[in-house]
Amino acid sequence: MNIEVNDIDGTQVVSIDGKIDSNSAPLLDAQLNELLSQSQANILTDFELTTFISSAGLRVLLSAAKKAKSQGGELTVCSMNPTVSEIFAISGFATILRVFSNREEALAG
Amino acid sequence: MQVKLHPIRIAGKLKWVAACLVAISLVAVPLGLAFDTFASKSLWLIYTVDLACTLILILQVFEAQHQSKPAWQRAGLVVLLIATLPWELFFTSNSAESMSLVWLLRLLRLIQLNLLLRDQHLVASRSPLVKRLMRLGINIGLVCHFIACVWLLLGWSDPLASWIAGRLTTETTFTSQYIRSLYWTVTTLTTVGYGDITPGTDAEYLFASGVMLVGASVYAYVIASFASIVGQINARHSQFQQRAQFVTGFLHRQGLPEHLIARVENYYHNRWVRYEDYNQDELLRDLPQALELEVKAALARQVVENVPLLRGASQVIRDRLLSKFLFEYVDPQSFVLREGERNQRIIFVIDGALDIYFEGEIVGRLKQGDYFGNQSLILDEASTASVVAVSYSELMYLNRNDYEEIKALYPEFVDLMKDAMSERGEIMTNLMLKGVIL
Repeated sequence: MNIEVNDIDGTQVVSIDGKIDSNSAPLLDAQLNELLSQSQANILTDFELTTFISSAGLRVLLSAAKKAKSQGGELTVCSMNPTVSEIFAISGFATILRVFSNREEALAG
Repeated sequence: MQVKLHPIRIAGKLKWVAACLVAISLVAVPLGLAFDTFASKSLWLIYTVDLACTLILILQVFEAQHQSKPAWQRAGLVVLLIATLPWELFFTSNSAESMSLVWLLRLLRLIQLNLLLRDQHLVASRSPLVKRLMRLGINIGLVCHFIACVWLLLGWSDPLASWIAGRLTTETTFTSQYIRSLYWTVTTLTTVGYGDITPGTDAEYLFASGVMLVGASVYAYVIASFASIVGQINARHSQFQQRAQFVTGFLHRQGLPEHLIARVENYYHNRWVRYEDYNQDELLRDLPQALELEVKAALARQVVENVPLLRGASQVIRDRLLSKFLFEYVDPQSFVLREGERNQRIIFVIDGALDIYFEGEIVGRLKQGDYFGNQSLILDEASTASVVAVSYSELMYLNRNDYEEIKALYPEFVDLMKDAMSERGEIMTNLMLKGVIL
């Protein structure tokens, strides 16, 4: 899994390439925590290149979302493929995180 | 959308009125034959009811025509219509015997009454056993009434020699004479025969012999019918109890702990109280698929009401889901999902309550309308918590294959699942943060 972070108009866009499973989830966790420790609480996780997310990955996202909220920011998600989108919908995560269909929409919203 | 058909059909409530009118006619006509005074006083009633019965019969003929009943049934109704017309109004005969015979033709209305009573629209909400009991009771009552009236008619045809001769001074009223006659009928039909009322004339001897001969068969038929009806009422319960006893007996022989056997016994008891052991799928197997789905949807209206996913689904998806769901009734302490299980189904709570156990503690409760098993199924991971029933709970399952099939056919199903989760989403995801995957 590869992670790329870009600052676009004050929003930290985290692009994740590959699978987020129990092996790679700590890497994402570390990356998100680093941003939050720098008070970068507006985070957009871009899933355009993400093929799968496991429960470990979901936990990382949820934990980061809670921290972002406590810092006055928000963690949002965008550009999910159908598999990841289904995981979010069925597991209940789509009801607690704001989900956008693409990056532009997310940055505008 | 409900498709409406418009066959000629007498409405259910009107059928009740029709059945009552025909029954009144069947009571009044023999009384009119037996008592001249009754006939003269209630002639208006008899002819009014005659008119109503004839109109009802005409409707029945049309109804049979439009419902494509067999030809013999339709012909029978027409014959009945002709036979029960008040022919005496068209003839000027003064012969009492011929007039009586014409009046007696009206008793054929017993067939008309039975046709009305057999109609499923008349007593649609009652069980077949209640219908049978009702028909049996009405028919027995009317047959006893007919015989009692003929017995009275015979008595009055020769009051000095007949059974009534010695009673003219004591039983002077219409009611007491009728009651004695009815009493004679019942004692004779039931083969009790006290012998306090006996025939006096030749005609009475002949009639009494006939009643005795027929009476034995009628009595046997009545007893057999009652036995069969009562037997049917208990048959299913006995069968169910037998099965429960067989299972608990087997568990005893296997030396299982008493508390587990008690749970099995309680389960059987509660299942009977709740479902009377009706197996819906088995019962509806004979129906064509479209009708089966419609019946299932109507039966599941409570389930639809209780499960948000179904409430929000379109008719097509709801029908598909209802045809795929498997139902189960679980007792308290039952593990519906175990920690470490590779779950392959989404489980919906229709009724009852279940606790979520994680690391030896209760971390949440699932209630009516909630569902679980979705996370482990979609993530293809083992459950990290257990779900145990707190009370008797009604659940339904959607297996992975059926979930995949419905999702492939109707992609909007995923959004429905998401919407159904909206109320519980935060609770379930917070549990996931703790490490709970259900």
